[in-house]
Parts: sequence; structure tokens; C-alpha cells
Amino acid sequence: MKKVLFLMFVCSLVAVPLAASQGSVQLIINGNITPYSSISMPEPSTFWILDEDDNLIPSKHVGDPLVIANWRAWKVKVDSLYKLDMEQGRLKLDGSEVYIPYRFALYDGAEVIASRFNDPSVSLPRTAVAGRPLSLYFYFSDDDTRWPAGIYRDTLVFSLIAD
Amino acid sequence: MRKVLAALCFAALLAVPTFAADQFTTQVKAAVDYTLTVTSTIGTQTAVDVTQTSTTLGKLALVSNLNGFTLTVHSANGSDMIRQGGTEPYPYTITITSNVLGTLVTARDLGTDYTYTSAGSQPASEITFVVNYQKAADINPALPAGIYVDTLTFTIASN
Repeated sequence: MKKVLFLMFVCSLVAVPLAASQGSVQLIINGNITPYSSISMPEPSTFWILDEDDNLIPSKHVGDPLVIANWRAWKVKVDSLYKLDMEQGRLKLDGSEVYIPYRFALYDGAEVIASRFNDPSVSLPRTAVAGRPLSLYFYFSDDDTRWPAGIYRDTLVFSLIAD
Repeated sequence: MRKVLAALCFAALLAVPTFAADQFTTQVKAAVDYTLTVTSTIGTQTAVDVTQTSTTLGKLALVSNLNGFTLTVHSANGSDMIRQGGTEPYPYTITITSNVLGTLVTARDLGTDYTYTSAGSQPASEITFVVNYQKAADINPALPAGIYVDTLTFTIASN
């Protein structure tokens, strides 16, 4: 019984202004969208770096970093553990001070957006919910060096920066 | 007072930058396969000139990207050529030189296997094998006439 009375009371509160008022009702809605960003890429698998003639392969598609960001604009920065300078990275032979130099390019579609270490890429806009896949390529120049057998590795750090 | 504090806290929250640099770290690994090409000029049989004190067996040409290798020389008769149909030994030793690494060993008795281990990568090289012995005529008591034989095995393996 109490519930019925309460409902009637509420209904009357709502009904009265609607029926009686000729003015307008102003409703302010506040929406808060939390900034969100992520960048990820599956660990690349080990690849053979020499071709059948024992020359360095000219290029290697290393992987596809995926960026998801609702920032208005963003940039990517790439760093290398064994880089020689801003343009030249190096793959280091395990247990030895032997390095295979390489250059890299980070693509957005067909456009190179970054090719220098620690140098932010061109600015890109907010991504779709599913994200924006980029492509990372390494480039090698053969110089007839006889590269010792073994595993060569480098560690890359990708940073996403709000622009 | 509480309202003032709450307002201050709210203001402080607003002052914190809302952007943050997201990061990930990944390791890129490339592999260089082992290659080892050994070309030999050592015949399956080499006649030793017993009127001299040494005979060059031949060379092993080594092209490799091994990060170090081990050369082993093994004598089937423990550094002796043995007379066929008999047991008389004609002792010898071995001298090994490399055009890159220099002299690896001089007049080494092969009573035990000879082993040479290289460290690090090696450029292409040639290894020459020479056997050393006394002239047959200088051996006392004289060796019985006959053919004296030993079998040498050369092995190159990655470290």
C-alpha cells in the first residue's frame, strides 16, 4: 500500500509540471571520455638474415605495431638498444661484439612516418576503435662481410606520444 | 574548510596531464646459419718419400663463418706407419701451418690426437699438413723392406 501511494505521489510530481508549464526544461548532460591509448605488437619471430648466396637480405617486414588512441593526434617514437646513431640500428651477435647494421622505416600505409631513432613520427589522428596498424621494416646493405654464424638481436622500444 | 580542501584536491587532479606515453618493448632476432666448406688437396693415399725427412700431405681450404672451430687430427696407429703384413713401426710426427693463423704445431707426435681450437670467427684459410720422419736409411736397426701404412683422420667441427 505504501508503494502504491509513493508511486502516485511521484506520478503527480511529474504530471503536474508537464501539464501546467508552458516553459522549457533545460537539461545539462556531462560526458567524460577517458583518454585511452595503447601500442602493441606480437614478438617478431627469428628470421634468416642471409639469402642463399650468403648476402644480407635487402629488407625484412618485422611486424605491424597496432596503435589504439582516442587522442586528437599522436606520434610514435622508436628507440634501439644497439643503435649506432639516429639513422642506423644494429643487431648484436650473442656473446660477441659483432654488429649487423640496419635502417628502419615505420609505415602508415604507403607513407613512411618515422625512420630515425628517438625522433617522433609525423602526427596521426585519432584511431578507429579497432586501432591503426603500422608496419615496421628493416633494411640491410650487403658489403661482402662474412657474418659469423649465430643469433643477432636488438631491443626496440616504441613510445606513443600525445600530440 | 572541507569544501576548500575538496576544491584544492579537485584542482590538483585537473592539473595532472591527461596524456601519457604508452610504450612497449620488443626484441628482434635474426639468425645467420652455419656454413663450413672444406676443400682438400690431400689425396686418399700419399706416398711418403723415405729418402727425405718430410712430405707434404696437402692442404685443407677452409671457408667458414663458424664462431670458432676445432681441428682434430687422429692417427690410427698412434703416429707410426706400420709395415703391411708385419708389426714394425716407422714413426713420424706432423707439422701443421695455417696461412692465416701461422704455425699451429711443429713435429707433433700423434700418440694422442692433436686438437687445435680457434676462437671467434675466422677468415678463409688454408691449413697445410706435413709429416716429418727420419730417412729410412738413417734408422738403426734398419727397417724391413715393405710398405708402411698409417691412416690419418682430419676433423673440423664448430665449437
